[in-house]
Amino acid sequence: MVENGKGRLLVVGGNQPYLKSLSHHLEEAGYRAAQMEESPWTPERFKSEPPDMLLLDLRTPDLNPARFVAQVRADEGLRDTPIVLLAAADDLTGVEQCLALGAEDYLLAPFSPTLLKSQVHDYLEIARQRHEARDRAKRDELLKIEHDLQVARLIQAGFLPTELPQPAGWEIAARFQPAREVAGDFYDAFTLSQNRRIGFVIADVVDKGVPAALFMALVRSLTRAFARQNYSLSWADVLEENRPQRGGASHKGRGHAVPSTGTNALKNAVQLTNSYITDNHGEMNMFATLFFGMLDPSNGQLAYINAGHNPPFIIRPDGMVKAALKGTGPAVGMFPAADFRIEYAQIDPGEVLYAYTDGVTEVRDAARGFFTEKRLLTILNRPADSAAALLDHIEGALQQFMTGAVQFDDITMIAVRRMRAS
Amino acid sequence: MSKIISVHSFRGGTGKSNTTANLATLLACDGRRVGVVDTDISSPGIHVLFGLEENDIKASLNDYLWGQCEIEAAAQEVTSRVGAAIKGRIFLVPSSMKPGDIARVLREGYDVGLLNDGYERLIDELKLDVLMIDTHPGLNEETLLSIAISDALVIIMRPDSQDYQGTAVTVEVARKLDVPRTLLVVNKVPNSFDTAEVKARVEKTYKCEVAGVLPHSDEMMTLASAGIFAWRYPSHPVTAKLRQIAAMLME
Repeated sequence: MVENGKGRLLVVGGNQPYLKSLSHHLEEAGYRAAQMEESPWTPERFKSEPPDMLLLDLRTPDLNPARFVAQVRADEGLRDTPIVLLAAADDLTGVEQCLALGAEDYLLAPFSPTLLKSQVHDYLEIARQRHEARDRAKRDELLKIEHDLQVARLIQAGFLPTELPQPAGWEIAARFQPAREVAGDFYDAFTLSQNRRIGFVIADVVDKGVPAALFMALVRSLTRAFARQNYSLSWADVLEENRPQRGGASHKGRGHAVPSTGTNALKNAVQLTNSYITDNHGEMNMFATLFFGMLDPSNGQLAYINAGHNPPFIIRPDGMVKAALKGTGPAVGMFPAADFRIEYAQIDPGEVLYAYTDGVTEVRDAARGFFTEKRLLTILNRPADSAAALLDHIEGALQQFMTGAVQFDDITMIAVRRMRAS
Repeated sequence: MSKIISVHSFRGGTGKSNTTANLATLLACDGRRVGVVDTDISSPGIHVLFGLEENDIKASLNDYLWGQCEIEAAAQEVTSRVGAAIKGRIFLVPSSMKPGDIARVLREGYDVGLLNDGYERLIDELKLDVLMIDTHPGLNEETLLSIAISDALVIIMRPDSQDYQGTAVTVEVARKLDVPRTLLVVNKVPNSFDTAEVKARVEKTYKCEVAGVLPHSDEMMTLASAGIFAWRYPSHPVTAKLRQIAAMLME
């Protein structure tokens, strides 16, 4: 790098007296001039400590000046280093060739020390400006990336619901804490079937950072849009061989695996999202674990699909786990023709459903130990009087646990609590 | 134990709504509580047979589907409109006749799962013995759902080539959906036809029980949906056949 206007020069050429004399003049003028006097004539030799400028003597025996210039220009670290040629008065062909390959300027023998110093001064200044411009561009690029990430973060925040539905007698709360600027997790909750059902989702894209965030946006948008598609394509199966089975979700012995309120939305949301992703983005090899619950707030009945997500818990008022809602299908985006089964559960008064992403149980402390499901259950076993209070307890415990450690994974939780009958 | 009976025809104009209304009336005449749901949302009509004008419809199936009321609030008792001395009760859930409402269904669709839950609730709330579903002709999702949850399916057809082919589709669907009982009714049969021969031929074609072959009736045509035929003409041969079909459905 150029220091105080005086730089480091490398004179490439044979052991010629006139080169020694030039070096001497340059050092007198305050520059540091090193000499490369013998083969191999390759930039590799000074790459690790690049000079601020090169003086290349075209009359050097065994040196192919054109190849040398080309090699310097092809090197990432040397391509901005100015090259001034020292040539015999009749070697204009060699000079033209080297200039065409990227050398900056030339001096013809006999060499005037004054002209040389003037050129060295000018080209060192040019080199300094080039370096500055490059640093500035790098800094601008970083700033732009940082700015883009902030914008991405804001846009991603817009993918989360601004308000959670709060049906009478119920309380829904959620937490979202990305490990980086953007996350691969999301949660969602919205009303369906003309407010007769509450759909809620928690999902974890199996990756981190920007790729996961982009995929999250896709999964979230598709599930929401498909949940609003009333018609179910699966009925077409009736006319084919894989007909729906009688039995299954039976109400009072009647009814079969035919849709009841909200189940089409549930099935469409997961099945069609899976098909869309495997059909259109299969080569990305990305997938998301996802839990989609469809709650009837009038009676606490829950229809759900668990696509490879860690089982949400239903916690009784005394803090005991009533049920763990295990997987009913593979992660979304994994298999093209995957089948997602609908299962049912019941949330009674005073009970809470708690769903989370594995960022919770995989929080690490300073000694790199996991938070674990065991610790989580200990907190869940302590009764809380509201969904928000429960999430606050867990969040507090996680913060305490990771004191002095770095958060590795996104942390997302949702709690759906049925209030006690007053 | 209450029963759900769907009445379907592959093509329109077979007398599906008319037959539904007549069967519902005959079942009520025996003292049953009968509910009728008009799921032919895009071309409703059965309310006319029960003597309801457009203005008489205060709430409809559409209101239920759009979350504006529970389904029993859309049910309207029509027993006295049919006849004063009926022992049982008839409740009708009509579909809206307002063009805007019909357009909205076509535009937005609805959660067909609501129908399944609505049928259940209607049976419980109105303590119905029988729920009859007047379906939309052809096959769509609502119709498939109604057929799938039915204890019995009545397929109405005319002795017409278009009906013959279409009926085969419905019979096949009913079979795939394991409907416990499927009955065919051949309607509007010209008087020159030999009903026994028609019955034998249809049964052989579809390998499906034929509950009745109803001859074309001038009285029915003259009534022109202005009332329930079986109530007006209790001793007409067509009424006798309808009564027979009603009895078979209750077996």
